[in-house]
Amino acid sequence: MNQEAAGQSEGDAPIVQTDDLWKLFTLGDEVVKALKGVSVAVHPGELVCIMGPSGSGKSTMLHLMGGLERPTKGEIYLEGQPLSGLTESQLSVMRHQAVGFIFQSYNLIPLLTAVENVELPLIFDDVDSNEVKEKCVALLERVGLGHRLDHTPARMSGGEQQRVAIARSLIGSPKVLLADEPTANLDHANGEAIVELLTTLNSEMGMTTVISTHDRSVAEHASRVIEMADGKVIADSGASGNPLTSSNASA
Amino acid sequence: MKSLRYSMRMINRARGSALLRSAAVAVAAALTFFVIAQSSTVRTQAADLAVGGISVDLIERATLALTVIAIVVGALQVGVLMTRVVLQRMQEIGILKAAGVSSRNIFLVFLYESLLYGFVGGLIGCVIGLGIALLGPMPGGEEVVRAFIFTMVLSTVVSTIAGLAPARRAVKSSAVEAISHAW
Repeated sequence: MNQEAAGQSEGDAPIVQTDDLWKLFTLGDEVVKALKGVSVAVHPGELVCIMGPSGSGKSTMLHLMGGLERPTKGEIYLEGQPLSGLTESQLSVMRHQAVGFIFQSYNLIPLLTAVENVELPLIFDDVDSNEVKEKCVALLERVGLGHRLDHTPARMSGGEQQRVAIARSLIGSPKVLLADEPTANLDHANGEAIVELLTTLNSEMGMTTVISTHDRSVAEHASRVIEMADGKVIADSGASGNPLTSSNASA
Repeated sequence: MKSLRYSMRMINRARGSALLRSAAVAVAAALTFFVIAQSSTVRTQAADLAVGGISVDLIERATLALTVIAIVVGALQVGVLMTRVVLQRMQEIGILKAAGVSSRNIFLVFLYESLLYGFVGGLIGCVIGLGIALLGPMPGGEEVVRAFIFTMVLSTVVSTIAGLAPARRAVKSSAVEAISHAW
């Protein structure tokens, strides 16, 4: 709630900031309140973990942060730019340039190879396709899949598919990675490896990352843990290296 | 052009089902081709029949009506098939949307796909139509060329128009719903 004050008092501006976010869904006659006034700021280089049981609103939170959905009420700032004023196509451009999404079910296209899946976000852009291909290969090597370049998803394990998805999320050089339950479909060892990969990308490339999970062992890797329940933030360990935010650490 | 290349790649990866979809167009195209290629023969034969009391006009109109029905049915089939294609590929549409691919490009991917079905179906239809036409009296070369051009243009244009609504549907879908859709 008082996170916005922390954002303002700090030198480096938040990459993503939400201000009193509300999201209501209508299911038949029932109105579900997925988010009830959430205010959070994510700063450059942070590895934030949003913890909470299913239905706590963490997925909705990630979708809103990345401009995939619009809030019912409240404002989202992506690199300081308020998203409410953007048209659908401007929002799309914003996602294209600033956000990388990773999903629970990998969401690779079955007919395409690993390299083709990774280049997908840039395939319609006016860019040198050879350069993009090289970057795809480099990213796949980076995530440890240099030997799987021409494999289709059906010929890869879940962990490998999620690595491809991570490479795909990085191809557009995003400012922030939003990973929605990236380990939920994986066994413990593979899940651990995926989190370690995200942690390494965060520490080596300085990639700002937000991971949602209900798995406490994932949170151990994070520089900051935000706990959510019933559409609200119930605890926030505060931004790393930013003691000013400790005022919000209610845990 | 990039959307066209992507459409072609996706069709190429699923050649079997793509060929089946083209078949819907091919049937209508074959009939169209046949009717046009044989139009002069139909006219002379109709003239013979006219002696027996049936007017040339009636027979020409009946043939034309048959062709129009075939084209309308073909167009409807393309519309239905493309709607199914869009639904099947919701996940893909969601990924493209999440990655910030423009609505225009997503629209074009699916529109080009309908266009390609029309084009390929037209080609297949012309071959079949020619085969049927050759069973009867030999059509003239000029008539064959005319039938070919007319059939190709018609099947491509009609398929593209039939693909407009499904392509718009692809664009209108919500990215979140598309992605979280369980498959």
